Amino acid sequence: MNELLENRFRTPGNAERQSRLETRARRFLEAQNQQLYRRTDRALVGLMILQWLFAIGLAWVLTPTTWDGDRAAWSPHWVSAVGLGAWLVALPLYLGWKHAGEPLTRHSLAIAQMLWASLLIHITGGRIETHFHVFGSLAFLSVYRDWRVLLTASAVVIADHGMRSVMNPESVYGESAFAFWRTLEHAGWIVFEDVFLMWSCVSKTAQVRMCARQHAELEESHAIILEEVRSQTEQLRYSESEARRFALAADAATKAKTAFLANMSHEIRTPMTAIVGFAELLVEDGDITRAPQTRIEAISTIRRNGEHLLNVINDILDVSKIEADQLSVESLPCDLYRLLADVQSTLQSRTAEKGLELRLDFAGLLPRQIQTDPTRLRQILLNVIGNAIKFTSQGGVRVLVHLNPTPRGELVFDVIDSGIGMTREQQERIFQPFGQADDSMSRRFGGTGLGLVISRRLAQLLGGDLLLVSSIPEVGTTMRIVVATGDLSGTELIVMSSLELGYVGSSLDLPAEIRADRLAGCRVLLAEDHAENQRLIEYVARKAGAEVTTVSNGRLAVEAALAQGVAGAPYDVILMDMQMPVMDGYDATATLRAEGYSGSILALTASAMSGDRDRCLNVGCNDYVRKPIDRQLMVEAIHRQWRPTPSEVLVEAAPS
Amino acid sequence: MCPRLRMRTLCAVMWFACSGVAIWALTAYSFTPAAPSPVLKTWPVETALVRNSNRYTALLFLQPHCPCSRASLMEATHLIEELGVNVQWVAVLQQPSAATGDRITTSITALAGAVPGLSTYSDAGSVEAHRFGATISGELLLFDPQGKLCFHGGLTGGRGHEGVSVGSLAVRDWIRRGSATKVTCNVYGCRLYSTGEGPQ
Repeated sequence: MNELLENRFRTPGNAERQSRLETRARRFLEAQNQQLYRRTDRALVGLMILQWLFAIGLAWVLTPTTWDGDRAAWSPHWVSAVGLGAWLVALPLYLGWKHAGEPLTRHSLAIAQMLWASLLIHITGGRIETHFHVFGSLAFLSVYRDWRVLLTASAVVIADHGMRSVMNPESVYGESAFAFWRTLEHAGWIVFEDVFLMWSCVSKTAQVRMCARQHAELEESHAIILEEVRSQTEQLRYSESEARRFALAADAATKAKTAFLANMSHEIRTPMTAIVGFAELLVEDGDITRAPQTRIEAISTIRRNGEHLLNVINDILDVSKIEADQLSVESLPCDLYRLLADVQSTLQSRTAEKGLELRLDFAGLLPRQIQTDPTRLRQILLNVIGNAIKFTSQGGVRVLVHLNPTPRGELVFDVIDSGIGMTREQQERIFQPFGQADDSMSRRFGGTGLGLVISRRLAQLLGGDLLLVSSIPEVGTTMRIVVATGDLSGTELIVMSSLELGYVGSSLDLPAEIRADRLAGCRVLLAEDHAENQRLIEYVARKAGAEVTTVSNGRLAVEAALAQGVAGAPYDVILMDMQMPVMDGYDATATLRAEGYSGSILALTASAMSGDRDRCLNVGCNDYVRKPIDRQLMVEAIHRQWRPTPSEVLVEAAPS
Repeated sequence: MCPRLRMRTLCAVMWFACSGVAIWALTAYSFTPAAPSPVLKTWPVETALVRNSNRYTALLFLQPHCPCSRASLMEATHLIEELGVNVQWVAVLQQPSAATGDRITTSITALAGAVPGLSTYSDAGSVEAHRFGATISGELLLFDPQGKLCFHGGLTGGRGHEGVSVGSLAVRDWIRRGSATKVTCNVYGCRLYSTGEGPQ
């Protein structure tokens, strides 16, 4: 700021500025003097009124009367105190009231004050102490900071003193003759006081002038600063509006990105539903064991690569959510043993392919049920254990599960493999996005390098963490997954037995068989625009025993559902694809609920964005199945809606 | 100068002139002595007052109501303290005539009675004042041991004006040296009795 002011002061118009400052300083000085003059005028007028009252009282006490024998008369001193006192107060009172601050006023006041000294000296019979009134009054008058006033007052004192010394030298000098040297001595004391008081006036005036100058400079500095602040504020406002504009643009970009991801998710998942689904259908339809080995391997390859592609898409979506801080988890009851068995079952084919052993060990007592997000915990376990399997070529992978006895309860999964291990440099990169241990790993083992980043974030959201415990090249790696268990009060703690899975020896992972009568008698309305998916879902549902009616958009679904309701034969379950032409699943569901339709509606969506599940439930869907569909999960979801049992809980279809 | 300011200045000058005249008049009053009166040259035989033939006798005539008398009494007190036993000091306090039976008691009479070395005499009907020819409160008559009047005048330089005065200096000279340049001086005070009034 100082630099700013100095630069302003060094401008070419410095002489003009000096002149402006001088003028401003002079005005300040005049204003301040005027204020001082007015204030002192009024103080002196007040003092004179007090002096008048004092003089009247004093004269009344000391010399109220004069005597001629035994006849009394008013004393001239008392008369003077009243009359002359009033006269001496009159003019100062008028001028102080009407013309405060004018030179005439303060000079008149100075004269009056000195005359008051004379009057008081008379009333007190010339007491020497009363003469101090003169010195006190001169000091008072110096408050004006106007040495001319002191000259006027001193002239009155000298005149009064001279008159006394001429009229009665004895009263002044104690001698009957005029004494010049005594006059000089008396005058000297007045001059002595006057000199110092005038010097005080002049020096104080100089100080005030300097202050006025500083005030003027300060005022100008203030104006410059204000101007600078105004300019900066404008710039700030401009920057703020720019920032707001950028924020809006960024928000729009984020929305566009979200929309793009949603579309991408939908556009990829929808055909993948058909690819994976029909690959499974090929395996199931007929006796696959009689097919040539090359065909079996081709079908298996299509299915495996389709699943891999979905995993990649899921990982990208999750990373996108992490970056947008939109990744969220749920808190649901989760059967720990079933979850682990499911994970082990899912990884069965991979361990079998590599001839590895996957072993789950349980240490100590474990809760049968915990509060967590089962889908996300399953995702973490699949990812970390899947990694261990991927980087292990011989030996096996052991998962040790135990309960950490902390106050809030933590479940710990130590994933121990006998794989290739990592160097220290590789260890430092594994939790960085797109950062596998090194580039050769990516070429050798594949993968996007996102799994551990996602898993760690998910573990943190689940109240724990994902840690690298140890890793030794060519010996193996130990990773630790920690998740919060939630409230365990009322939860049974049990001893779990180990789960062990060895080599099966088949390269074809056969899908689980669906019971043909699972949906026998169930009337299903399928609303799906994609022809391949229509055929696939119809096939799966019919194979489970359901009677399926298919429509290609939401409006037709609404008409069909309401018509069957009116006819008295409503559908048991509506499978509603949420993204369709003409009328999408959201509007169709909302319309049906608005029309009073109370039957079950199961949402089918290829979107995997955060909030989709809530959105489906909010418009009135009873449950939610994500594409590409897991046939068994879909059948079970339809069954739950058709014949719900109290113990069944909502199980969200997970990405496979 | 604008006409209004000129008018105000003129008024202020006139005010100042009038104030000056008033102060001058007050000064004149304060320092105008009472009219002198002829006094005795020697101690009268028929007086009730007692003269000391071994030392000076000083008679200080006082009007008990006169405010100026306090200054005279104070100056006399200083002289008594200074000159001590060389002088017989008597304060002659004026009182109404004995026929009225009244007696005036004021702060002056009380003060006079309290000064060590100063005897008081109540002069009923101003008999002694008339006898000695004293007319003004504060008038002092100094007689030598032989009864001859040495000094006649006041002890103050003005009405109620305490401090060094011609009169007090003359009294000192007479007592200390037996002579002085001044045998009389002005007296400032109220009249002891009304003009033309005789002893009662």
